[in-house]
Amino acid sequence: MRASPVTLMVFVCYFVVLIGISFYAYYKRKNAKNFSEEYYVAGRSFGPWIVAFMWATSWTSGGTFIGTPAVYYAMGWTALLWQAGAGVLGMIGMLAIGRRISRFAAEHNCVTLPDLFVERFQSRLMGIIAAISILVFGVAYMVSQYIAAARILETFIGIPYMWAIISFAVIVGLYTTIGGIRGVAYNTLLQGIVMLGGSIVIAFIMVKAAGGLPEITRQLAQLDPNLITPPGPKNFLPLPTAFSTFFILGVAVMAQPHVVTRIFTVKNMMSLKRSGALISLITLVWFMSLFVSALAARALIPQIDVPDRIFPTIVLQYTGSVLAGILLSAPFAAVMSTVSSLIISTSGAIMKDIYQRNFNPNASEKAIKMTSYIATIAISAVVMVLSFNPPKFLQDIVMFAISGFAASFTVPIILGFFWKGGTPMGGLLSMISGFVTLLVLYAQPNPNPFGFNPLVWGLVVSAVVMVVVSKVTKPNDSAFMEKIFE
Amino acid sequence: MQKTSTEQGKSSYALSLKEFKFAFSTTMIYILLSCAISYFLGYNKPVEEITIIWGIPSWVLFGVVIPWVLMVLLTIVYGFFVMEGDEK
Repeated sequence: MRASPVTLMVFVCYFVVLIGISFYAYYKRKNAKNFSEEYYVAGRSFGPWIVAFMWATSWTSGGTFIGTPAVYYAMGWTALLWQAGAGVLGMIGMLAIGRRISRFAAEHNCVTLPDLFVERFQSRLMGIIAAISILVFGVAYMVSQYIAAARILETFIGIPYMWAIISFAVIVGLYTTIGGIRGVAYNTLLQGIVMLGGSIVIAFIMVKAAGGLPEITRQLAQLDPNLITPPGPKNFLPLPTAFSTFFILGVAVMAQPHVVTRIFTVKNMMSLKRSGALISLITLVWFMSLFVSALAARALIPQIDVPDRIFPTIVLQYTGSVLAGILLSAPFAAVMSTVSSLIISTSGAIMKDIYQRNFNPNASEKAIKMTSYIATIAISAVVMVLSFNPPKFLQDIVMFAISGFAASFTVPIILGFFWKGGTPMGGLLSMISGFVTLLVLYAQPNPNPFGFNPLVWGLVVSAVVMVVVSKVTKPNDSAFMEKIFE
Repeated sequence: MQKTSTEQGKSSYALSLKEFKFAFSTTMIYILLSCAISYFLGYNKPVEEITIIWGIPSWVLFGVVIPWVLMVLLTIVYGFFVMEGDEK
């Protein structure tokens, strides 16, 4: 199915606007006193709406509009239980750790997640290991996003795959490099509104077309009773898996490097509290809208060859051509906001955590600026080249990356910042053991002992290691601990 | 981020610890409740025994939709009205 010329024009205009916004951000940044504070955390100046949208769009990715509706479509009502972890995003991802993390980051000039660990545990090694893991998994994550975007361009506009990747890489690289985090933020606000508004509009259109929710559910029950009852078709979600998914699609958010750093950009407590509340509301409306749209789609189109195409298909089939142009931008908005957040996070890992801290602590402002630009462009280029020949099991690698971030960083964040007993060795080993547990379990023929996901086990092992090792190893200097836990 | 005057009166760490404990425990209660309700109302029941309310299977309504909406309301009330340190 191809989009009409009007749809394409709207779609292209949208990108022109995004690039324009980045230039505006560049001019705002030009006179900033401290380049890296501005480029990575926008001078810690954002209010609640920008923070909430940036946070929400960093967490949700291209998958939210491509892979996730496919799950809703295929699994029916049980998929809402699968998604329900999103209910805790504002609470656990922002309100639980926001005050502590944003205050600590501001007082210790942290601009990246590894910075937090280096300053809290006074361990440079922990910073390097965290930076390397962010680099490796961040790149894998981004490759999947590039491929998702290119697949849509390829399928619906007819651009060859290679050119789709190149044009996408150029647009994203350009707007991230030019705009820095401030450009990403302004763009994200626009994109967040497009994504949110788009989901609501499509939900109304679809539910109306399918004859209302009771009719949809009746149709689904006729198609397959498993679409109504848990654990869903093909034993999709047994209870232990449901429980684990609350952690992967909910709690894990507090340890995603590209999401946590959004907390650093907050202006004050007022913005932080409001953005936490907004995040929970935005994600509720968003997921519920997409969910009912996908259910309606199942009732209207009972069979589709590639479930991943369900969202673009319903957009082109059920909305007018102008609206379709705007709505097709939504998955792109999701991909771009996630990718640009990841580019900033990974280039921060190279520039700050590896180059500046270990090789050139007294780097001049100019050198930092050049390294940041080069790192940003280099990462965009590497991701582009890797996307030319996509690995076969990419989606698995991505789920693994999200779980990997969560298994390594959740416990050091919680027990490092809310428990006085954490020692540098405890922090380091808890980070490594959480990750190794995940790795070992994934390598097993049955990676889910007792039905629980490797992430749940990783978190348990990581927490036990943190407490036990901290009890028997040397704590940080007591005057320092006094100061950060006063 | 600027310091607020409320925070200068109390300890910022004490406040943040209080918030963390609240948020963490409500999160865990939400997860356990949602799983428990879904289990008792929905798991291993034949489709004929599942009542549909406003087009929503009852186990989804009571196990997912209502807890989720309540969690969002709690987050809004806590974020807007309960957490301290509100000065600009």
